[in-house]
Amino acid sequence: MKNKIYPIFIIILICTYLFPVAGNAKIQLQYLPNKDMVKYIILENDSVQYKLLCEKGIHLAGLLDKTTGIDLMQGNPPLLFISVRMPWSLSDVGYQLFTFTEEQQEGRKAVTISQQSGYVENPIVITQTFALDNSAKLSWQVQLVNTSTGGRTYRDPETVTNNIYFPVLQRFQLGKTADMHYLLPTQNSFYCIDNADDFIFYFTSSEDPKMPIDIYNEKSNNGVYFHFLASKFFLNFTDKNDLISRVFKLTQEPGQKTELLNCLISPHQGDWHAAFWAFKKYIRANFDFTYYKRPIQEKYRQRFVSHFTFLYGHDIYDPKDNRFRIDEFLDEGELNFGGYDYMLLWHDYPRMGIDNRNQFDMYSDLPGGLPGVKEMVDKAHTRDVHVYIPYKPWDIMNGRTGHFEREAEIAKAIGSDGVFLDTMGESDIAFRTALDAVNPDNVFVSEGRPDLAAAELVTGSWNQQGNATNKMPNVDLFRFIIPEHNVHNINRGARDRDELIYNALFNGTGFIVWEDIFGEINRYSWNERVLIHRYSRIIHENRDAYLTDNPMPLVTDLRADVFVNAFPVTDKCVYPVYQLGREEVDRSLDNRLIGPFMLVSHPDDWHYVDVWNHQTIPTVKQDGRTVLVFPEEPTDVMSCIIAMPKNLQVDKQGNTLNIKAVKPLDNSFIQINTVNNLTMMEEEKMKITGASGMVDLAQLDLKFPYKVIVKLMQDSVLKDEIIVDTGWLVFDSKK
Amino acid sequence: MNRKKIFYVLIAIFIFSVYINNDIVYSAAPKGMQLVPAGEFQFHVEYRWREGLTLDTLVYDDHGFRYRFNEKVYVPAFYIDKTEVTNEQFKAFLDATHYKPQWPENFLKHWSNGMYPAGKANHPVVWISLEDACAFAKWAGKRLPSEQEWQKAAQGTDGRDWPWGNVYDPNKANIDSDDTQAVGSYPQGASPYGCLDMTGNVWEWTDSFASDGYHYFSWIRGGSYFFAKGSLWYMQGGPIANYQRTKYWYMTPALNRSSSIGFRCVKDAK
Repeated sequence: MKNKIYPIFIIILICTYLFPVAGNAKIQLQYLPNKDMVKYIILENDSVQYKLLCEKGIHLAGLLDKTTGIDLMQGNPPLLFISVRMPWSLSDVGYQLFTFTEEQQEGRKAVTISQQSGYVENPIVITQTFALDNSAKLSWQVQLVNTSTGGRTYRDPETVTNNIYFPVLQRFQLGKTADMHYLLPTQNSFYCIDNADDFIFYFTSSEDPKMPIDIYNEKSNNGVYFHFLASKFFLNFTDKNDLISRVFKLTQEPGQKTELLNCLISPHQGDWHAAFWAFKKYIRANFDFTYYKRPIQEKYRQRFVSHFTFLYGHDIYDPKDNRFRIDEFLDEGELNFGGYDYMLLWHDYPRMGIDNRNQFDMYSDLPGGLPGVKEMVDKAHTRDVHVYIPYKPWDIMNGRTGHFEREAEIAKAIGSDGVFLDTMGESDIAFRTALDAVNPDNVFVSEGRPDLAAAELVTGSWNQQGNATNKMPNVDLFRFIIPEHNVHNINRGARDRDELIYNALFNGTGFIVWEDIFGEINRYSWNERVLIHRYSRIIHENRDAYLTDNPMPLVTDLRADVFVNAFPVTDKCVYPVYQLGREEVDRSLDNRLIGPFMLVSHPDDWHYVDVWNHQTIPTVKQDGRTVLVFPEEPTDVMSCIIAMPKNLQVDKQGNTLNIKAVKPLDNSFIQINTVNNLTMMEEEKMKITGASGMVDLAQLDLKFPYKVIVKLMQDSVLKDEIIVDTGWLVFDSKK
Repeated sequence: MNRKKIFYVLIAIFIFSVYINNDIVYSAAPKGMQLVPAGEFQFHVEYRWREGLTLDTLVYDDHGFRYRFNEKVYVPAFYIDKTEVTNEQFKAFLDATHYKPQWPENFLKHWSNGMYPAGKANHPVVWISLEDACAFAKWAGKRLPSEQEWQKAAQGTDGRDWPWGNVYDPNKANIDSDDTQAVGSYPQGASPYGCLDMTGNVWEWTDSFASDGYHYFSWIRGGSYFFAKGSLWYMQGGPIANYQRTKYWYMTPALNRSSSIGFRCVKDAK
């Protein structure tokens, strides 16, 4: 199941949202044939026309997208917006009693339609408001009242449980069923396409606004979304059949009024991404970014690989000399994982509770006391490793007050850089204030995924969604909606972390190394160490693009089995590519990832390098666009393609490489690496200062590796890369 | 063989058989110690803490039990201190040996100028590490109990949950208070072998120091007066049953020493 959208189209969409057509005053509200004989209500503006049929309820009879001229209701009978059926038969016989109230505001026209069954034993009054502004979105609000106290019937006032359907959502057809797909909220805070066996998206808590439910057709490349801003019902579906067949139940006491829902309906072109971008815009418009604009956040976002440091383990604690072996520990971290950006000191749990020393007291009893811990932090800082300390809200043995100030005192005494919020998904502004008073350059990282309100203050968090994080190609929507928030992938109990690491590369999130889980050793395999090394190099060297404000989830490619995210900035784009269901190779080429796999629209002088598998990606032109081609199957299920302008020139003359940066960059140098053929890790061989230089291959000690990588680096960011394939034995044979 | 001889032989056999069927007679227990005679008991252990348990199978368990033991073990006879070692006793050790720990942080933190607090001579000594406790035991000609010895002394052979019986009784131990109490304050809480304060007052070190290859740790037993409340994430204090063991990760001695951990000693019975 694949449903994606061209990046270029997304850019257009975003521009549409950023720069809406201003001052469109042509919103019209018409009654047909006339206001006394209303059969149809037409609500329209320049981009859309909604045709409502008033006949035993309010139906959607037409949905004309004027930008394409397509009526999305084509092929559908008029569909009731809402059907409210009493639990006994004959509940909706008889005529309907309608009243219409018009409402005109600046830039918006609305009609409120109150509707009641002429069948006197049906006491439910349905009031719906439909409103249109300059956009294509129809606002639809529904209110239900149980008027059984009204004396219309011989029955006593009674509590009624109605069966409710939304035919406009549940019965909507868009072209052939086989081509129709649904984007659905599933479980609590996940989303799926059609059913939960497809790839899923993770967002925040179930209380947060849900992404729109989207219905789209991949052949006709259009759809309709229903963005429920509020709903009395828990909108959560296991699959599309669950959506189609769901009966919603609402129980109302006599006289009870219920604001049932507030929804935006909109036609769109393309697939579910339209709903995603609308949702992203909505979320961001209601989000306070104050704490993301602090200078520390920009530095914090560039910290990807961290270590959970259980201080009781001998990785860090040397019992013989009773000291923390910080230098050796960081050396080993570099060897094993490519180094850490920060470490989380863990000194208390599960020891705390043995006596009345609380989390703050315990620091003083670490080797050397607080000055000893500070010495460790200082040593880490000299290697540009930040140090975070935990905060345990549950440690209340000595009371609940003064925690924030005590934590701030510790932070000041040892010079730590951040606070990890154990078991929490939120924090307190008073805590932020207390920490800022001693060091404004520090951040919060929470163990739980914060909801949107909490994420305004907590600017980083763990992605600890177990199998959801540990599975490819699952997408962390939160990462794409609030990219300013630093997400760290972790699944502490996982035996196999390959997909967890791929997931971090794919989503552009951080990764936590945690091998000593409060005393349980869960070592990473050599293979995982290698993957983390490679991931770390790529995400660091390409952080300029990974940290884009505009990451794009699951952009369109040319193959059903390939999934691609995009992280574009002006002069680069990172495309992590994942092949799903990579199975046995047979002799047909169909299931091999060879040949064209993606269309892009970057300038002609850009080129493409797979920095995961160390392979140049050739291109062909097609209809003015660029087709990316795998010349041979990538070695791995994962690839990571960097699109960037050509700058380096490398001429191989015999055993000499003549290297030149055509456009010299400030503060840049040329890095020469080779590829270790056993691990695929890069090995740093040589650094050439300036914009050009010569390399004698004999200097590179080319024994087993046969690829030489020439990189143009600026402030440790990759600006261009050329892969020189020296062949297996070509070089040696000339000796 | 005449009948008289046969009679004497029969008498001798009878006397011998009576002798071997009786309990072994041990020399008198040293002062302040109780005899725990040789024999089997059901060594049933449940873990009191949940983290870091799987590696224990590498260290201790030959029988495939991951989180508990439940096996019959033979424990040779031994004498065990009737009470936890007191401040006064520990001072005698210091006076005799001038013991200085390698890492003195928090060593006898509650003492001042080499003297325990007034009125606490008979309280269990605390703020001592396992190393400190071993040094004391060596000086006293004793050693620390194994977990099996400790549990048998607390539990007897009938598998009881608490030293005094199967019914939990907060009035028979110091298990939730502000401080230690003088040893032996709960005579009604005595174990089948007459040991006092096997539950509560202070946790007790056992001779179980080990490495799993990545950490050092030891098992502590019996619980203490201190009972941290408010969260299930705390190391559980308060009433700790005979069969429950708590894993104590070792780190720096200043942290290992605690206001809630003391010890008592054993020695082989002959």
